[in-house]
Amino acid sequence: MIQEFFLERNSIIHQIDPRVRIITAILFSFVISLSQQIPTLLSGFVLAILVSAPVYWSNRNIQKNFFHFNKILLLFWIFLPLTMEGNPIILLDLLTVSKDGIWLATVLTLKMNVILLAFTSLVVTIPISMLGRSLQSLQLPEKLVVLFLFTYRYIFILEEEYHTLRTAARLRGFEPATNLHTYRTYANMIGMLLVRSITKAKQVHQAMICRGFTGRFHSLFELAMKPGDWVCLGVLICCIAGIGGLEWVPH
Amino acid sequence: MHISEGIVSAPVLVVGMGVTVVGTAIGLKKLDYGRIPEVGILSACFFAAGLAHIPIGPGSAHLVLNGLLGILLGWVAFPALVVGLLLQAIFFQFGGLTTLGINTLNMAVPAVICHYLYVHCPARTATSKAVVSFICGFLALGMASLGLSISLALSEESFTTVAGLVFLSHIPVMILEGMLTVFCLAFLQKVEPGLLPTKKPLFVPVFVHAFASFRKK
Repeated sequence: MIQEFFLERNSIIHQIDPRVRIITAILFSFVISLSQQIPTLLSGFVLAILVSAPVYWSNRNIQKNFFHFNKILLLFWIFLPLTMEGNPIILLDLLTVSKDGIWLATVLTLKMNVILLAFTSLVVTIPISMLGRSLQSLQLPEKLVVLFLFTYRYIFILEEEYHTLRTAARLRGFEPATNLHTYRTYANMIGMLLVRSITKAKQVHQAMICRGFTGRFHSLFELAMKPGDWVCLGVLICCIAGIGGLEWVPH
Repeated sequence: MHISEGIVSAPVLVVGMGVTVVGTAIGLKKLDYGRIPEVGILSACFFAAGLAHIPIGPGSAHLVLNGLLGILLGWVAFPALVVGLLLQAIFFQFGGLTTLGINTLNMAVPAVICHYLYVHCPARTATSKAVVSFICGFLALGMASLGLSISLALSEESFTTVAGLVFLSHIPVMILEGMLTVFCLAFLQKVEPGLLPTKKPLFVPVFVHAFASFRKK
């Protein structure tokens, strides 16, 4: 159901402390998503390419993912130039293609790609269990982290139960069609899925309580900031601050 | 249903984050460790519902299940949706880090409203209960897509047309979601009534009821 192909390669990025990656990714995403000036966006694009190159390099699946994301962005290019007013460049009887719309679509495409590159190469490359551990050490509420880790675990329970129920329905000769019976069957399947998965999840939870779970996850991942991580943090924060500062440089 | 990154303006992002932080804090306070399996499964369901999605302009439409989540969880829908949305951002690149706040706001506030609507509605018969659950499922997604459209329109004037289209395109999904909520809640009523909220769980954790029903067995 879910693919974690961003974990496959062990690049330089994978070796930076996850907390450094999370903090810089959050800062960078905010700076880029709030910026308006082209120099900011372009320098952000350069930084994003530098950061993501080790992860994206020669990995087919990751590149495919990137192109798929951009296919969705094509819709902007249809919607914005046609629905926006101002500076029409092509005037047909019904359709006007506006220059401002094309400009906005370009800026948005650039922004979204820059953030996507940074987010996928910095955060998505962290295994979920390690991400949970890092969020814990970044002082996020304990319950939220536990819920996060359990939810990830439960996705697989849900998938397993779903396959069981689907097979059972097929064996009884269920064929989906456009009628109330189909909808009711699907809704009952979702209800049954909930009941069965919750029962199973409770068993997991009870087993954990039997082994002394008190609400805190003790991970085997040791997180320690190495000197290299501090350097990375410093360099990346300086770069991001510089990129953000470009916003106020008059052009 | 998700707002992508880089689209909405700073005030919208800040309001989204503020409301999400407060809502999540309240939700976490109401969440007992004993309820984590139930809440986790529901957020996993929300995560999986996002798999069948159709892109529409700067957003996308798919089953959201925020009505169902809200009715069953109340305020706990906030942390459940934060977690679900974070996982969706990681695995499918829907939404993202900066829009986590506004996306949670758009989906969780209607969820909480529907919870109170469902719990405090004096529906006795099966038919009236079905009507109430349909309204809750329908309204939860309706308000969520309204929120989505408003946040788009507030950020950029030129998005107004797109925002309207996004709202209109969600109407079939709203009906679907309303129907799903009706059947699903009727099924849970028959099979596992301990999961459904009663009038009290505003203050008494649902898991106490679940535990009581477990003891009876």
